Amino acid sequence: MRVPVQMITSSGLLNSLDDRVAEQLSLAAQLPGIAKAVIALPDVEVGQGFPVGAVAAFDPHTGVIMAAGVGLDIGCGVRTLMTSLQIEDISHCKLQLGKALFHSIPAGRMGSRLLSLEGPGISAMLRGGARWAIEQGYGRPDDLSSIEEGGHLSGAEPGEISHEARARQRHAMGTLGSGNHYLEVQQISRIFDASIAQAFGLKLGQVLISIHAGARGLSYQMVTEFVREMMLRADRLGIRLSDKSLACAPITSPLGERFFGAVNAAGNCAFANRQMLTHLVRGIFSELFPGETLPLLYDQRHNSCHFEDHELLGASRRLLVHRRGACRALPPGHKKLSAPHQATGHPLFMSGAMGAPSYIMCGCSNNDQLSFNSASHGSPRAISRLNARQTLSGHSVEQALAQQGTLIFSQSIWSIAEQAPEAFRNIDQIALVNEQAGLARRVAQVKPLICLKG
Amino acid sequence: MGFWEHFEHGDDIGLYGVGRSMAEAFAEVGQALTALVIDPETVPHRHPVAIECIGTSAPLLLYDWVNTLIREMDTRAMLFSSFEVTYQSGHLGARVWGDYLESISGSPSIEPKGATLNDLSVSRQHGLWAARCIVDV
Repeated sequence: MRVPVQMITSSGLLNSLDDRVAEQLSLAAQLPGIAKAVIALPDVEVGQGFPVGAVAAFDPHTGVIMAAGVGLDIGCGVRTLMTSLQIEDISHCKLQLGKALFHSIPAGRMGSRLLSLEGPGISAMLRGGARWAIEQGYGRPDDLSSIEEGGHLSGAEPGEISHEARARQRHAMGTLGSGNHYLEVQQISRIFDASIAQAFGLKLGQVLISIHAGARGLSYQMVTEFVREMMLRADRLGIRLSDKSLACAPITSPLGERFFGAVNAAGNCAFANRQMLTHLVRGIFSELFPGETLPLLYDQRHNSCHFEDHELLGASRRLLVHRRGACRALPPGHKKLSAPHQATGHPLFMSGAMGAPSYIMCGCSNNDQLSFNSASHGSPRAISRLNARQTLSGHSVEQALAQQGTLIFSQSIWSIAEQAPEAFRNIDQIALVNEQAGLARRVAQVKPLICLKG
Repeated sequence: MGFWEHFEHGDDIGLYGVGRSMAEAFAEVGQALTALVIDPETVPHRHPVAIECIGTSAPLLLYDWVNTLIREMDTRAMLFSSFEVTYQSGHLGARVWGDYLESISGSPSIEPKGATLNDLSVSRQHGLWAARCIVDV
């Protein structure tokens, strides 16, 4: 290994870890130009080549850009909207609200209700991200200040997105997708840090809406195409791949530069998709709760790759940081923070399983030294998706959650079984370990009232 | 006769197809892919789609086969339930039959994102071909 592997965990979390995680981390630590350490966060789990819940940073001159370090769903993340409602304001119409969301938000394999995007329009979206979506009428300009990177990644190269990848996105804008993606109506069930919660505009009992979605088919297609090319060219690029799943290219190579441009374009697609979903949600809330404007709390990616400045051996170094299933967690005072978040750090979201609590957190001071300013993104699996499908009943899961006060809406009973809360590890412990380790501190816990799954 | 199975891989799911020829094993992988989404028995064989892949190695051909099926499912909004695959000298030709999502009764589940290189293999043992591919879902 060129650098050590650093695991930030607890004995309880470590005991339940799949052996393949350590192997994946150590293989990543052998890649050229890797800086300081490969970081495993408390929610780490086995991934495709590189674990989910892990961070790797590379020197921009000698390092590589790796597809497994961002995953197939580039730019996937969570956006949370705030309401001025309390739980009692929606309890009388919870079912009506759930049904309205279910009928209006395309989920699973459903296509867009907003537009079919082709030709120059798709290139403009890939360049503009959430800015493009707002220019098309899907949102408000003030949304941008509450989106990571202002909802727009510079350096996007739409020309690197193939015809096939564009075709997969034609009917996918403003759609949730499937798997662990969700739209939840939540209530704040506990406040951990009253002053930061107040600064974020959060109150106990307040109703929030969270959207977990990514860039959809365009990203999946683009990454599989680049992975193929990287694997075939590895020898010529002088990269020895001990595991083909770690397909990568030197950052300075034409292939590496092309992939970086494509990653930024797909990241913009994800921002635009969440912006359009926001537009749909606002439409439903404005009908049922006139006057509700649903301002953004924050929008944050957990699959990302970009150049950042970090302190290494007492000097500031530019690094290409890959976060796979990991949130950026900028601490108070960080130069990249927008003015409203300077004193607190920005909000970040740690998603629990379907029907389980989630956490709103913020970055701790000095987390650069621990994790390149990163924190966990959510609950890892306790049992495999296949095992959950074979052993759990979707109907039983749905009924049990309804009894606990969470209404589940899904196109597929299989999906409900696969995403059952018992198939995931406890998010409370993940959030606590993040706080105890000094990665991110807990601000508030939210519990789901309505959950829409793909 | 060939057969297919799924195997576990954390949040993702593996496809395993076995046949008397590589082509038959790939056809079984196609069935396993559809079975991630829905019971293949519920998908009528109404509309044919032609697929071609050219690969320098059998595993790469499998990667391309699964990714092409996923792309065709996604862009055509279809699911496939019948697979006729031929293979000769690095060239895979296939005709697959299925139906449009809007015409299929039942509720399609997860959306396969793409094939991965992780644990990807095509092998021959005891006269049977076996193809393994993990799909990111």
